[in-house]
Amino acid sequence: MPHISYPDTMGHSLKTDKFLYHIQKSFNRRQMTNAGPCVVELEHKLATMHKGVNCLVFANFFTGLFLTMRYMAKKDASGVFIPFPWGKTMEKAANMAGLKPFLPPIGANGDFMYNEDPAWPDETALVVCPRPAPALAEKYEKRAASAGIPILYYSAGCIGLENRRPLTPTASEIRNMGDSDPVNAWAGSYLLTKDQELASCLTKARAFGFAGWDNIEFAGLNAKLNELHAAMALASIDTLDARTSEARALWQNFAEKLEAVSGSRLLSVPEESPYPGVIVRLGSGNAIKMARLLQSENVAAYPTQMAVPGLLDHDDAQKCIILPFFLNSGDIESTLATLMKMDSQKSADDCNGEK
Amino acid sequence: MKSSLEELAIFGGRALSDKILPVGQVNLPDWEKFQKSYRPLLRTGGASKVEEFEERMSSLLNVRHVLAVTNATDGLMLVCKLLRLKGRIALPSFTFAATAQAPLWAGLEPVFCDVDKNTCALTKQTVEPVMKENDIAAILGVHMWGNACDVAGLAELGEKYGARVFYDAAHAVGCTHQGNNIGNFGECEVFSFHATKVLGTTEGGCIATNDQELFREMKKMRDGDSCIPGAAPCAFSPAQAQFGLLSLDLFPEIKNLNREKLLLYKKRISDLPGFSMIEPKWEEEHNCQYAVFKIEKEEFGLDRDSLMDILVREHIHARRYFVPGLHKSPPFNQNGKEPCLPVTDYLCERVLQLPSGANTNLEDIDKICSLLHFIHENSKSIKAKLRKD
Repeated sequence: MPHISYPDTMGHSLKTDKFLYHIQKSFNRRQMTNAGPCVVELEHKLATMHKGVNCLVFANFFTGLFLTMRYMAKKDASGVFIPFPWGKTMEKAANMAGLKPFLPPIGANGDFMYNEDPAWPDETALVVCPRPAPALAEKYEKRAASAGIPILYYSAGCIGLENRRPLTPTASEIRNMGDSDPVNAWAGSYLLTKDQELASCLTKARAFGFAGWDNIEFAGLNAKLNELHAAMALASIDTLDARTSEARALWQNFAEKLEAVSGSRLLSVPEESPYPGVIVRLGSGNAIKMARLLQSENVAAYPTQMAVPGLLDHDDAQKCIILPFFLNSGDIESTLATLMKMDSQKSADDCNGEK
Repeated sequence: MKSSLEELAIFGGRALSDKILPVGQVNLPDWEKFQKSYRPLLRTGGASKVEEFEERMSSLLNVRHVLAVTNATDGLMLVCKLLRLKGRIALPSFTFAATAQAPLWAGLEPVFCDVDKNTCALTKQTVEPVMKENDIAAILGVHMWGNACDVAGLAELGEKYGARVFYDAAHAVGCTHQGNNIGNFGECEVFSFHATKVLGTTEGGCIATNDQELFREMKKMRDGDSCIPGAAPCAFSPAQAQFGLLSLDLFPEIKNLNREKLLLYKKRISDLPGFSMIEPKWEEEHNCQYAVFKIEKEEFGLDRDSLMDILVREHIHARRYFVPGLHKSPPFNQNGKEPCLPVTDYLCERVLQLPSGANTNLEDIDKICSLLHFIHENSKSIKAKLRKD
């Protein structure tokens, strides 16, 4: 079985040329960080792709997240409501930002609020959650706007889907640019916001809070994206269309072949999606065990476990595993073979157990 | 060379240098070599590159374990969390902002100490008063410009007051103290690979330690697998690692060249009144990356800030370090209890860094020194003209 721990190698030769083309600009300027040419171009390109909102890039996802949370919440020790009981990363980021996270409890059946709008604690100064389905997002945003509370959406592979619900002035969004995301910078994140004041504050905060050469205005840290990573992100954007059509073809191929694995199917993906992942809903068996077995075969699979508000309910989440999407045909065959093997073993185990 | 005041750029003359001379600039690898090494990396993902870089750093620093991280600030935050520090941390005010900001984000309260006038770093004598008056959980020393702080004295204080000791070694890649590599002192030491450092990965940093348990836990934290509360993932990418590997190949040559540059500065300013170099410890292994000077305005004839304004107009982008000291900067100056740090204040008014990075050659340094002599010799008239204009 091939090692598929670094999935984004599809279309690599084109992407390599593009990467080298971009990074050469930084070489020529001898500027490899501190808002060099690739970072400036990347922010401009992302802002244009997202219809002119402000765009800021950060060194990695977690730093971008907690820094943004801190300055959206405005004050130390403010309350952050995370209407998503599995939001451990968001909870961790709130703690790092010196804020007080509130997560709703998970109900006895694992349900909590897939399609509802839960009560927000009185201390709420900021709401942070994965980007929910459009109807739920609309509810959240209306409520937030009337209470004067900002919302930060936390999402990764949403490129192409933003037209389904554009950002409102009170809702900002942070996206991952990890090595398996459609915009891959190896590591990094970007914030989309219509809040000019927030954008200007975070521009300083990501560079130690400096306003000018010597003067520090407030506490920041080093959250600057370097030029290597920015060049890679630019190369990803340049090749996004080619990548999406190839991923779509692979996805369809996989979906057809998966019919041979009893009861399993791929979760559907919106037409305009960049196909950021292959999510398999298993017909039977335990998703955690299956993911572990696949990992032991060097397939970078993991169980979804977490429901996504309005998109994936709790029951489905327990039966789903995410597979790398950059599977070439050979990898698809061998991954399917592993899935089938596991499936038949599981059936045999079940029979033995009954005996 | 300038022969009259009117030839100074600040009075309308042409700048001394056609190119901008920043204090430090990235040491870029050869473009062909860069391309050649990144093509396979992009094809394979280069998963092994990070470990390869860590191993080579470990051998350069002569330390058992090295963990590469996103940047040195993240490295310092990681160490504060890793050591499970709570409460107050003693550190210098005369340092870059990240030294104090990282503990702050990790939930600690920085308590600022004064520094030694010659080394610009913490000593037992400058830290002990703070230890006596406060309940200090840790001491964070800074090896300013590659010169080690009083590591023996700080270790003694750590022992005496039950405080953990670790170091910000951002400036100190490839430097030794009494023949021992920096990287081996305290519980761990954090290095920077920012583009302006002697060894760059564009952005980046690493933590060096000889403690295997500590290393295991910090690796988990970096990779997001730790259960320590608030542990922040801060991975280092194969792309950064590859850049670091290319920089490591250049390192010996750059170190030698840096030494030549500083020796030239030293020679050329030796007879310049009021202008003294904060010298690297020549007897040690030293990266010689920073050309840093103290200016006594009475003897030199001009104060540091006026001199910097003149130099910047000549395209010599000298920098003041560090103005003001952190104890006078937000958010640390907002509790109404500004500590009394006379040596820090003294240094903050006088220290100036001059160009010595990749973009600055020996000829440039020679020109800069001649200009400094010209400015000193004409300081009275310059001052008068500046006042008039």
